[in-house]
Amino acid sequence: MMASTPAPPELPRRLLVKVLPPEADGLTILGDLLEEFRDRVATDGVRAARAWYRRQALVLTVQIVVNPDRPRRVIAQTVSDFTLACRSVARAPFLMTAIVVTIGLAVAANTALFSVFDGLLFRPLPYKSADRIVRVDVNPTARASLSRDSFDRAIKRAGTTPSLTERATARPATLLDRAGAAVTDWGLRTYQVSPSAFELLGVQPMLGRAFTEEDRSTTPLAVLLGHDVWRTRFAGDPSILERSVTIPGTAQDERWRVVGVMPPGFSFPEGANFWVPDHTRWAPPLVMPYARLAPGVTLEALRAELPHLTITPLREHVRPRGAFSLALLLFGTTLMLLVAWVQVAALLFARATGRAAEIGVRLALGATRARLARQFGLEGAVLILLALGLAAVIAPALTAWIVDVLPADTTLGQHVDLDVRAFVFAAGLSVVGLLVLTLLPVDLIRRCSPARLVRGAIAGDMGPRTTRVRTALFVGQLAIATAVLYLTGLAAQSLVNVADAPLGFATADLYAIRMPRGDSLFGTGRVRFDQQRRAVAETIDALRRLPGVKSVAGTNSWPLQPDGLGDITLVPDADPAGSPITGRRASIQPGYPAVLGIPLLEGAEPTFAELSGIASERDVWFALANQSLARRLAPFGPVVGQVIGGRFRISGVMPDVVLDRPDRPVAPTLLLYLPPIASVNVVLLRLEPGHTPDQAGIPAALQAIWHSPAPRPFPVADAVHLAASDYRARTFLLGLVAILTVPLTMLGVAGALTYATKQRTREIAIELAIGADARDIRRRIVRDALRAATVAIAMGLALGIGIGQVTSSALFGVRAADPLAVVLSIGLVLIVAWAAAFIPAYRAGRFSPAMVLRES
Amino acid sequence: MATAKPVYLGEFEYLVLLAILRLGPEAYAPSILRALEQHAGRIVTRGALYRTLDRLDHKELLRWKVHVGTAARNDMPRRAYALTAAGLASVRASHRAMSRMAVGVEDLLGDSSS
Repeated sequence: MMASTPAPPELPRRLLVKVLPPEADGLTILGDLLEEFRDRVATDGVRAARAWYRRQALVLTVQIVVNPDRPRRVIAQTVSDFTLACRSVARAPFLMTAIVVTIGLAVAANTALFSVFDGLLFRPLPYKSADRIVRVDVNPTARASLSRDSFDRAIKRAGTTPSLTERATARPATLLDRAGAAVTDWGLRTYQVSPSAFELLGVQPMLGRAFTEEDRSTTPLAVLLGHDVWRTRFAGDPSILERSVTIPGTAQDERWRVVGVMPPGFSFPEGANFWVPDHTRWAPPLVMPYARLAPGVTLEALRAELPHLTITPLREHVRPRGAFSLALLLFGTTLMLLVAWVQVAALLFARATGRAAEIGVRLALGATRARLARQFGLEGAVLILLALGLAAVIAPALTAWIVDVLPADTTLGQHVDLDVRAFVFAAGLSVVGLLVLTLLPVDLIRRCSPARLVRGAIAGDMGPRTTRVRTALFVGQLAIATAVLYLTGLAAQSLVNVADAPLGFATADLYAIRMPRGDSLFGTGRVRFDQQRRAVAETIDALRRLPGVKSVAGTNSWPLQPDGLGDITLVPDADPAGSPITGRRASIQPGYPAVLGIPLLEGAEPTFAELSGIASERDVWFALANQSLARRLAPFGPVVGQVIGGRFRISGVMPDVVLDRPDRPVAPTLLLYLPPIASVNVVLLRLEPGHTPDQAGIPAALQAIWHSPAPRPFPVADAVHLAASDYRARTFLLGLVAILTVPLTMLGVAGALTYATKQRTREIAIELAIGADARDIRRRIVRDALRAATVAIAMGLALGIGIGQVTSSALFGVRAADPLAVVLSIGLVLIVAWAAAFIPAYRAGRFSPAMVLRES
Repeated sequence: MATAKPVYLGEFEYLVLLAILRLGPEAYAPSILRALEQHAGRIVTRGALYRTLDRLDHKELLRWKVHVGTAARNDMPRRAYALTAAGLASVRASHRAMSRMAVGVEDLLGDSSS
């Protein structure tokens, strides 16, 4: 009988069981349906009844799922839970502030650091099809090996090939006085650019217009202002357009006509913020030529077509340096997140273990475990909301500050601002992390019965484990802080070592002047070279006659000029079968060692008459060898007078001085004497002590020869400063991470210790009641903290030394295990640990036993 | 007893309460559905009825008792609904309001009142 009773279709029935409320409520409805189903079987037949049941199940399910009362009920419950969560957070204000500030700072710092990192390395350049824009440079080896005519032909070909379109030029402008107020006070970085440059980049002025061909010849000279210059120096005045303005310190106090203002963040090339029109021929190395690859032309094809020139994509050119430094930023960011999370975990763990009794009571009162889990999740959400609010306030200011203090040669004029994606990413990670951490108490709930929780038996079970975990977290964060401080110490020492590296010559009173090509460029071929050569010779003569000038010499690069020296390979005559010597090569004029102030160790400089005898590149040229090269060329015999490979006659030996990079050993270097037929790029001069170029009358002398724009002398010490820029950037970035990490760590350690002390209030009160000395208790808390700090320091130093070894190529004059950095980081971390333990220790010593015991 | 305050009823709530009154001790959900269909010509979905019953219960206009299920229901329990004093007062108030509103327009309403 039972078997023949038709049953409702199984799937809809199961669906109903799933969606209907549990127990009696749901069963009544199921029963009603079943009863009616059977009635329908009797009247309409099984098939119709089943169809009816299916329909009913579907409609009922939809109605239950979209029940308008349901969200209202959930919202009401959530609001009540949320209120409870807020109250619970407010009950432990110190701990919660520590968590909120930690996460807020960590998210803000991460966002800021990541924004900078991403902005400088990965974000596409904000120019039109930036990946097709290339820069064309002279290949130094090709230049040395080619005859002047072939070299000219190579340059000309680059200027006319159909593989390149939209040619544009840019070059640092010499129009503004380097030492003038405009540069120092206004922070002007002036570039002369061709009118086509803005079209090439696809960037238009925010106000006004870009340069036109007419702007090249009109007076006052047209100028485009950077957004910052316009905002800070002209108060963002929109009526400035086409007005004539003066800029303090500019040559001859010229007046300038502002034709436009560039959009915020535009600083092409190399951080420019003041542009004047240029009309120089599109030819390296006189200007920096840029162009766009013609459609269908690949970079490789262009390189094959122009083998004597170096073609670099704009992206690589803008972002070639500092990649290592920026990688440090990413590393720092990761470390910082780690520190933050370790301590948030420590704080929340401390709190969770202190809530055993509360959880027990609530379970005993009938709260479901799911409800408790949701409660803890909501507490996490309250914390996250507060922390993200804090981060949103701090992050933009922090990003702006980092960009502001970042060394200019790291940013290379790229525009960096807060990256919203970075904020969302860091915030998202924090949300996930904090929710996971706030659910720690759920682990407690899962493992314990309410009775055990309320009785406090849990404390006995969990005690040693909790203490162990808490100590591990405490040690972990101090270890990371130690490693960061240690690495900062290594980077700082490297920077000091590079900046103080003995160069072998004094940079005081030593100046360099880059010889311009000026209007002589409009000549061609030999006429151009002759004009330039005559002007340089005149300059050197004029400078020699000035009273404050001690010595002058021409050269092709100033000491420590980036990429100033070329490569050379020599085969010593003494050992033709031996391995060739690879080294560096510079071009100088007689008097160069005297300007540097270094006496020759052997031999003498060639005379003017001897040099005049050299008529072509095929003749034997005179050269100086440095000591390293001399030792390699002739280990046992005299080197002076030797002719190397039939091309270079060694006329003298000079000591090893640093002309290339201060952080590399001095390479075997050959200093070729330029014959009078060769052109000179740089004039190097030493002034009498205490003289400045202005006092010596140098600007006037240069003005008389070169007219406007006249070149300006600059101190060689600037080049030394520039050479240390990588180290400076690294030190700065690590220092930044340390500055952000140390307070985070201190906050976290102080929070965890305070909470741990608070949990032991009763124990401490009993100790005090039975006569313990408050000072002993304070000392014990501090001693415990310092003991943990000692372990942390050992781990942190091991980590720091390990990282130092892996990155030893970035260190200079300091080993991965450096005693000074070890001592300093130990000292600092101990101070941090002591300071963090001081407040909880002080509070513990002030407990009133009677009060505490009465309350408990 | 007489102090139970009438509550404003929606039209469907009014019909459901009337159906429960009519059905007396047999006021189960399926029979209420049938009554609504037969006497008021209203075909309503089961979900709408259960939700209305819930709401009326929430307003304390009706109460229910759980009866032990029969074999036809596989022994699943069923609820028998009945009006509370407040429910009855509300039905009365609604009915009176409707009657008063209909006075004078019986001609227009045709034979509905007969």
